[in-house]
Amino acid sequence: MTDTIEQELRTAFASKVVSISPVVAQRLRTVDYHPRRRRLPAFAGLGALGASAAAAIVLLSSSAPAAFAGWTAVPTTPSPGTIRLARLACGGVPSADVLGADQRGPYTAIVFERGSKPTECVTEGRRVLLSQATLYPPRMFVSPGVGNATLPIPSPRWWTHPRRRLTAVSGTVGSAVTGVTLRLANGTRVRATVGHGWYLAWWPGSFADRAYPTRITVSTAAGTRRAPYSRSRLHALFAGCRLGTRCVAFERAVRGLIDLVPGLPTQLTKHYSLFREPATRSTTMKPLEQGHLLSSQDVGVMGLDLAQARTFKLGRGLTLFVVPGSAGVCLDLRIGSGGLGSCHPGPSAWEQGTIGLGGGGDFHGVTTFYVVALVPDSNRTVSVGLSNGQTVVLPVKHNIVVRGFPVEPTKITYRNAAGKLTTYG
Amino acid sequence: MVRSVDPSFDAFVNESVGDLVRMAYLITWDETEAEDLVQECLLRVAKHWPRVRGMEMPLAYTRRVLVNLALDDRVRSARRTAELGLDVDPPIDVRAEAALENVEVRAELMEALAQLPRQQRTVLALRYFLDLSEAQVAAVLGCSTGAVKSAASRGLAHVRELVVSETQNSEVCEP
Repeated sequence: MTDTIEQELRTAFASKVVSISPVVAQRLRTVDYHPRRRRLPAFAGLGALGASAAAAIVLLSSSAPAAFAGWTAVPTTPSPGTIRLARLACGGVPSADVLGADQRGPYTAIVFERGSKPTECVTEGRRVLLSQATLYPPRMFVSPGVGNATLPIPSPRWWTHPRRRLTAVSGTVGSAVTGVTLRLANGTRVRATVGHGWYLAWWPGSFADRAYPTRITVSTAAGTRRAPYSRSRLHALFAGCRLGTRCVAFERAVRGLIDLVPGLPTQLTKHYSLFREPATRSTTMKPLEQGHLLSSQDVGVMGLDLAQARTFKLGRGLTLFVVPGSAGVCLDLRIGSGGLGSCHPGPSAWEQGTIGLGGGGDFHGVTTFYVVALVPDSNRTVSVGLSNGQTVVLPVKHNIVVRGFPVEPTKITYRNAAGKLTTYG
Repeated sequence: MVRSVDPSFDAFVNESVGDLVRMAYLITWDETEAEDLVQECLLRVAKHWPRVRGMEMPLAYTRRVLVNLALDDRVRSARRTAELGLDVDPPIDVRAEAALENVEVRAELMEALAQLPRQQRTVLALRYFLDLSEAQVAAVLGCSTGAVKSAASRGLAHVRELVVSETQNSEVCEP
């Protein structure tokens, strides 16, 4: 027994170290470890001080490589070969389904069509940093009223590393639109790539870094129009937050003053046994925010009730938070120090199920695409179609399905709350 | 690329960084923390490089610095860490159904290792990953061979216990 476990340990350690990204050693080789000997002059005249300060900044940044080093706010156009590589890395085959692509330093981002669903994917070489389907229903878009441009509610759905949080947005624009620029709350201006009726932009950071858009600027031959990111309108967009429901004020949520909505929507308790059983342990905002997957904004706009959250330890280091609210349901899957999260507005969230399909990223050097689904009681199994043509039947426990795949899941077939067989994807 | 005055330190970093990262990763079970740890370790070694360079085994000394840093609670709390949970093992590959059982067993072992106290995991990693002898582990940790033997035995017992309890509780359950 001892020999066996020792052998298993050797294998386990060896397979663990294989998952370290080679970039880590690469970064460490470029660090300047030599202790500084020269001191900067304390006061040597304004000009000299300016030059010294600039030199010090360069040294600091060389010792501490920034996340997304080399990222640029203004994109360039990647070569066709780079686009093909990115499409391959994003789990597909190089084909004509790429709607838009941009290059920001060493990073290539593409939007491609998967079925009828556009998907954003950001890569660094062969590593997938983010892959998310743009599954926003139309009411979740903000329109600045010019050039048919839309601004989706930005939500950083995915990131793989606490140091490497990023937010990606894409949207449709009319053919007359020649440029789209987003201004973020932290002051950064990000120029989007525009073409073929789409725009695409991404940037380092998430809500926690105040890296969310506050204004969109759309240019056409006729001129330029700016539109603010309307908070009140954003809040009103959620149809699930009806009259008579105690919705949480968006402003209060942003300031961290979270109101809890008592009780659960009746549809949830009716169709999901998970919610008929009492929550054995509620969660607080702290674990949710630690991973920066669910923000206080999500809590606000979805009217989430943290006391009703269900927490599941799924084994293999996965933890799932299912957080219901008066205006929707949020699913937050933690995988090590990363994970994926998504919120779905009600009532479709509880009548049609809550599906996160194909969220993917690079976990310790392994690109994995996840299915995370909350399905009604009538489902004992669901079937998942993969991009390689395989179909996999997965068991449902406590209304939940979570599974990672090395290839992209493209559809899921299950029964909705009315018992009707439904295919999503 | 390393801008050090002494080129022998550059060569040492280039040669040993992979080994150090793997070691740090197995101790911390976290890539970010491992990177920070190795960086800090090499900064300290660089400071004393003229002396370390003259040693018989600079890598063994550097490993010792690394392990001491990793097990030093004061350093750990000062370092920015993000221990949000356990790491995940590679996903189940539907193209390799035959290997599924092995994957499941290894996943349980991985989870057990992730739950081990850092000291015990360090001893096991030194013994069973680096294949160091008990005397060599003792030299790295700066303790007696007897202490290493006992720590390794406790670590193995703990892993066995965790694997058994994980197997018995493999259903999806609310904590």
